[in-house]
Parts: sequence; structure tokens; C-alpha cells
Amino acid sequence: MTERDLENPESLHLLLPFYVNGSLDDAERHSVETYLENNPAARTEVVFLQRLRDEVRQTDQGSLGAFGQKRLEKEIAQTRSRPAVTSTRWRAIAAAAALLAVIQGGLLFNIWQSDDGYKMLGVGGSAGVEVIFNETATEAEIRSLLNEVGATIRSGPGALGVYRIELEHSLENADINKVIEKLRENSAIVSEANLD
Amino acid sequence: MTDHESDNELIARIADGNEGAMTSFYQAHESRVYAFALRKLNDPHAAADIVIETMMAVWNGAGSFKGQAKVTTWLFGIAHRKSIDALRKRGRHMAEELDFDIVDDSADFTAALEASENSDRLRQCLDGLSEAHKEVVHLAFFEDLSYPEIATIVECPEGTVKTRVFHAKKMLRQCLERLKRG
Repeated sequence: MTERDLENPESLHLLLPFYVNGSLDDAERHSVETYLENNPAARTEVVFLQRLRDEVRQTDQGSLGAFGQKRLEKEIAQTRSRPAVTSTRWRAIAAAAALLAVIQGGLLFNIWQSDDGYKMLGVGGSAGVEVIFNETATEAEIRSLLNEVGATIRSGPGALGVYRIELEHSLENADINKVIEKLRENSAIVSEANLD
Repeated sequence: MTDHESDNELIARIADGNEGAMTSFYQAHESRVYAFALRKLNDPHAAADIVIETMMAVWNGAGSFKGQAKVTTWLFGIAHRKSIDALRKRGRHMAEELDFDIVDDSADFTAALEASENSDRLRQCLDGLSEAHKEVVHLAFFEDLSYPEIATIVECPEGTVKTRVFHAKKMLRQCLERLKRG
């Protein structure tokens, strides 16, 4: 800001939010403090802005965590292995993959929508195992694997494609870990499996 | 080593294709980018996509980072552009600036201050702001960024940032007063 701005009440008034967040330089901060000394209404406004800042900072915005990291690693791996093809051909491949994903998603939904317990991931529910399936896995492969380990899908997919599955029989922790290992062994179907 | 130096070091290693550096960078910043995108888009699925797209842009573009701004300013600038793209795909546009008279804002904040003691009311009014106003409020109060940094991120003049925060504050005051009156 110019020296002239630092003497202008309107210019100083616009700096109040940045006075509250502590980002002004020394000259600006000093000018705002002088402005506030003679302006009780502006001091009330500063209190309001501090409350607003507190509210914004208290909001729990969450995190993608480890599953976001896995998705990122997967995308990086794809860029490294992506063959040099023409953009037109690449778009055609991407469109086909998207179509396949939609068809597969529809098949999966038809299977799981009859489950009364179906809900979006993150809404709640008991402990289980979180799984990300490979995009290339078919519905038949997923169904077969889940039957093999005695699991059913309880919720999902979440924002990152995470499903929560529950085991049909109550198991000790050691047995649950065996199930997770079994899921991970089938890497053509499951890209990630972790204890929920 | 400060966070600023640490980020620059990570970006240099990412530019060399170091995936471990990318993981460290993701772990350090993903929740901040997610919070930024979620505040702006109000959609956790879209916000998750913005985080991944932004991090991929860092992975692919680290070599072009010149170090003229802080790494986080560059990072939020990418997230800002990705968010605008997402809004365009939804058929929405960032709100146009309205020409408010700054002198008109001499109104007493006492009523709004009393109303803001109710956290639910304040959050409701915050949620009601436009994407452009939510964005500057988030950068100013969640990230505590200066107005020159915000101007770089949202690619507009510094004066626009100041008036945009001013307008957001004015709308919040009016919203709180309205809710208080019932």
C-alpha cells in the first residue's frame, strides 16, 4: 500500500480482515491500530471478524488420508506405464474404459441394492474391512472372492471408491487379518484392503 | 529447515521423479487442499477429485515451478483453477463482482456480533455465500494468507481481494441480522 492509502480510512477499513489474520506488514498494522484507537465501530467489527475466523477454523473438513494416497500412487503409476498413443486413440480407450466402469457399476448396484443395510460410506455402521476393487475386476470375480472369504458389502463406494465389507461370521482379529491377506493376494481383483 | 524451504526441497525432488517426495508432499498438504475444495464446492466427491487432480498437476508440473511464489501459493492456485473447471462442468460460474459502496458499510456490527454467538447461524450464513466469496474467506481465515498471496492464487488484483472479503463480510452481517430477526 502507498503512504497515502495508509492515511485513508476507507483503505484501512478494507485491511481489517488481514489485521485479524495477522498477515499485514508492520506499516499497515501500525496504521490500522491507530485507525482502531479512534473508531469504536471498527473495533466492534474486528471482534466480529475474530469470531468469524474462529468459526471458519473450527470446521472439521476431514481428509482423504491413506486411500487418497493410494489413488494418487495409482494415477502416477498409470502415467508412467501409459503407452505413447495418439490423443484420439487415447480418448477412445478412455471412453471405452468409462463405459465399462458404468456397466460394471450398474451390475454391482443391482446385486447390492437388495441389501437393506446398503448406505453410503461414511454414514456409520460397525467395524469391518475397507476395500478398493480394481477397475478391471468383473462383478463375477468380486462376487466369487467375497463368497470365498464369507463377506458381504455393507456400504460404498465412497468418494475414493472405497467399499466397506463385513464378514459373515464373527472372527478373532487374527482370522480377520487372514481374510485381509486373502483379499490382498487376489491383486487382480482387489487393489487395497485394510482393517476399518 | 522452515516449511517454506522444506516444500521447495520436496518440489525439486518431485521434479526429478521422486515418488517418495510426492508422498511426503501429499501427506503435508492434502487435507488443506481438500478443505479448500470442499469449502468452495460443498461436495466431498468433487473435492476428493480436486485433491487428486491438483496433486497430479504438481507431479507433472513440478519442473516448471520457478520458486517466485511460495509452494503453497502455487498449490492453491492450481486447486483454484481445478475448482473453477469443476464448477464450469456443473454449469455454474463464479459470482460476478458487484459494485458495493464501501462507505455504506458504516452500519453497526453490534447486532451481527450478537447473532454470531450462535454458531449454527454463522455457519448457515457462511454456507450461503457464493463460491468466490467462500473462497476468499477460507483463504483469509482458515489459511491466514495475506491479500497479495490470495490475489496470486485467485488471479485477480489485490484490491479485488480486499473488496471481495469486504462484500463477504457485509453479506454475512446482513444474513445474521436477518436470521436474528427471525
